[in-house]
Amino acid sequence: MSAPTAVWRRPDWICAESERVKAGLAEQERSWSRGFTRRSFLAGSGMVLAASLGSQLVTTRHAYAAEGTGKTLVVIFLRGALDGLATVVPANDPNYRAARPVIGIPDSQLLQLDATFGLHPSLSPLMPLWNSDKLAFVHSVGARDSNRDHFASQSIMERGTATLSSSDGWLDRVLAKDGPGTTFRAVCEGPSVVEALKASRDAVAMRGIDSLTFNNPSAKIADALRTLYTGLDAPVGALMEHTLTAVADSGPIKGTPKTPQNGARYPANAFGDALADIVRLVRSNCGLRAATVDLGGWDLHSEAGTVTAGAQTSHLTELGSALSAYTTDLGTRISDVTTVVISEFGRRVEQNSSGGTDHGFGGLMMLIGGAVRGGQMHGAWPGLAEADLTSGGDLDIRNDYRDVLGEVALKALGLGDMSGIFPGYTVNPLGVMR
Amino acid sequence: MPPASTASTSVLIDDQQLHVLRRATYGPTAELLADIRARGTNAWLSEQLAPLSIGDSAMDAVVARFPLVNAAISTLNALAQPREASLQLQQCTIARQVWSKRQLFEVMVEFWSNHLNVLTPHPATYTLKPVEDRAVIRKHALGRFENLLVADARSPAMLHYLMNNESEAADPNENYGRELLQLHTVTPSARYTETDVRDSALVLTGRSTDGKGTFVYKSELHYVGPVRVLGWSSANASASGGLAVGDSYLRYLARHEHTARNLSRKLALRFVSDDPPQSLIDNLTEVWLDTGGAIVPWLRALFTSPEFANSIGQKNRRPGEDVVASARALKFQPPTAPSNSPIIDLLNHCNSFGHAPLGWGPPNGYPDILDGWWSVGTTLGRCNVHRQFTRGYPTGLPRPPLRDLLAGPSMSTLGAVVDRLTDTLTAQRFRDDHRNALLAYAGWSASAPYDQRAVDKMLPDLTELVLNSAYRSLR
Repeated sequence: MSAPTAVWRRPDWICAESERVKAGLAEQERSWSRGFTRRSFLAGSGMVLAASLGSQLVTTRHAYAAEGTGKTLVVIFLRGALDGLATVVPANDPNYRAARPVIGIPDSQLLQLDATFGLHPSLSPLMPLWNSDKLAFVHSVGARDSNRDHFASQSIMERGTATLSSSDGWLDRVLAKDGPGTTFRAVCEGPSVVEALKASRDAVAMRGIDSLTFNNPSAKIADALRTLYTGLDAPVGALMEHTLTAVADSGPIKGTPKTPQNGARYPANAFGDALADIVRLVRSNCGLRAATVDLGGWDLHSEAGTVTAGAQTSHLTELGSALSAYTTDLGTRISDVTTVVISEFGRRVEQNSSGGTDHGFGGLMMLIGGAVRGGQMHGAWPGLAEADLTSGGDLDIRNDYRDVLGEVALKALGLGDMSGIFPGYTVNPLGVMR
Repeated sequence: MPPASTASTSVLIDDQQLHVLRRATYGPTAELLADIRARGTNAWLSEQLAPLSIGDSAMDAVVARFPLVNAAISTLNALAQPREASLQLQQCTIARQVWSKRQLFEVMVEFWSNHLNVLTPHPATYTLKPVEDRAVIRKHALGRFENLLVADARSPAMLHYLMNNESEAADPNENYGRELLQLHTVTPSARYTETDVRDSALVLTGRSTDGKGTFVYKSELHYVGPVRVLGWSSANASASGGLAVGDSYLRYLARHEHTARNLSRKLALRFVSDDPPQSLIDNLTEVWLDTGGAIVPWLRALFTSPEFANSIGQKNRRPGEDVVASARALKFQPPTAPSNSPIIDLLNHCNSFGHAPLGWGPPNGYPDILDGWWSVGTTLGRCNVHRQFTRGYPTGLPRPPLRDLLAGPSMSTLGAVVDRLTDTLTAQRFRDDHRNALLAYAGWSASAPYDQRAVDKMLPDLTELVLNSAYRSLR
């Protein structure tokens, strides 16, 4: 942590020791009068940029948006590198057959999407979305800067750039452009804030809205904690402030029925719980603009299994059943909510000697929502012929991830433009959104 | 107790011995503080850096509650429920953090477990991780990094976790070869290439297991032919010599300046601040290079550095550390009944915060900075755990009554009660406004006369609040 610019003094001491009063100190004092010091935690982090400082300070936390005005972008990150070629499968493709004699999905089992592709049968719950034009895919998509390393590649995708000097996330920049929002404008369902939202520290990380409840029933607990964390020259002061604000503003969301609507039945697991909670947030009209959910376990280097049994099939079944319940639960609000499912890179075309696949290059994205130009594949497809593969056996990247995410965010949230969201890059929309 | 220092930039007092205890242990206790005050920081540190010199028989008895932790691999292989082995290891790890007297050793065990991350419980590591924990991590935690790294490259748990066990010359699995460079040693700052990564994987081919948890070098899987990674190269001319070639490669990486710098930065992140001074990283790097990666002198240099001394209050307890430190503050004792379920309760709290010991999935290890734990839900969840702890949960861990927190000369006012409580739990007085917050919560006036009934009524809540405070969440 860099050296603090001022020493904490009680206000009466500040008067008594006027020689110590400087502009910086006065500024800190003003922030303390609201309960907490923000400046010191910003100064204390080497990762926070001036841009995010701006977004932090212009964000006024009012609890609720006007009803029905809310559009929401939901980003589901499949950590570990989804096998896009086992998910949206090239049908009747001899190259695919040859590369995946054991783990390949037989043509007879595929759910036909278009002339080229079929869907893994475990995702059959999603076919009604495809048939009603609310589901689309982009194949051969990814970050050309990715390097087959999970963390570096996830980081590139979440920051929206391979440039390490830019350490805020792409959703941080989206929200900065979006302008002021509510306490629950950004929610990460999980143990901590994801890298895409890390810099502004505005996002609420939680495991469901009901978890934001003090077991201590005293009406004085929040005031006591607020005072106990006032005037710290430490970033944890801002974290406690954020926590108390979120708890205080969570009441109406908790008052929104938890029961899934429209007969939706979620799988009983953390992923299903997270999606159900997001729908509850949407229904509460709490002003949710961006939400993230992680689902791990996709790094199937060995024993991926076959279409009838194994890890790939069970993972896709979990994904499909949860997403189906989620869209059912959303009901008509699906017109307000755009969901994008992403992963850090694809997997090698050829299965390996362990019955799995190693790290590849081009991947797959899934888009869901009423605003999505659904029922079709988007973007270019290079094919799997040997001459079209890259780096000795990988599906190439023909569609830049930023072109998809940029267009999705622009249209899903009604941003004016995408300038600055992806530093040094101009988004070229593929037409994935209406 | 000294008052909160007005010169400090932290609410934590400028007490160097307390500062050392906050960083080198899972939470200061009155006993530890008395010990370091009596013997001096250097003597205390020297003892902690020679953990076998510290008698820990009570801990041994607790470890014996988890027989699979020290079971032979043949025993583990025969388990009907192999997952139980890794669950026992997680539980035992928490128990050691709470009750072992070899505190700095446990802190460094966690440091190296995290640096050379291997997820457990996971089907690939259920039975292998307990062996790795004792035969690799604990064995070398205060030894030389070079030996740790070489042992790790023979560890079935690591070889399975990063799939080197199935890597072969014709079809190398690059997972381990890549992470070895990127995470375990030099980092991308050394500017290795994809060709280096490929050769790194080729050098390691053949390092496998017998499928029953024992390391086997399978020469028939080893790539033969010249290999070059950064400044190291070998003719690698025979399959039978491949293991020795790999060891020479690992020792090269261990001694590399970028490895020294990577680990020195990580050490400073653990013990000093989330943004450690470059001067400290430079000095630690120098010590590491001078001593050939010997861990004890490296730690000594850290704890005696001015940068360490100047870093009071600049680290935050991560959620799992909070669970353990709170258990220590309230003097939870090991279970007396046969069931380990109260220790499982502690583990479950850590799990709920995504911070179970050894439970991080990807090979990069748990984050060690506040940013990695920035969570409204966890911040609130920690307060709820403190409430449970002050109300007798988890049951089955004997602990003294809360009124023992007020032990000492009789107190004449309620203000003195608050002071005694913060003395005991934080070894310092709270700043006036924070002290007033506790008094206001209790509805007390500082000068009001001591009132046993009022104290009995409010003590659990006040204890909870002190545990919630920054005086405890900072370390």
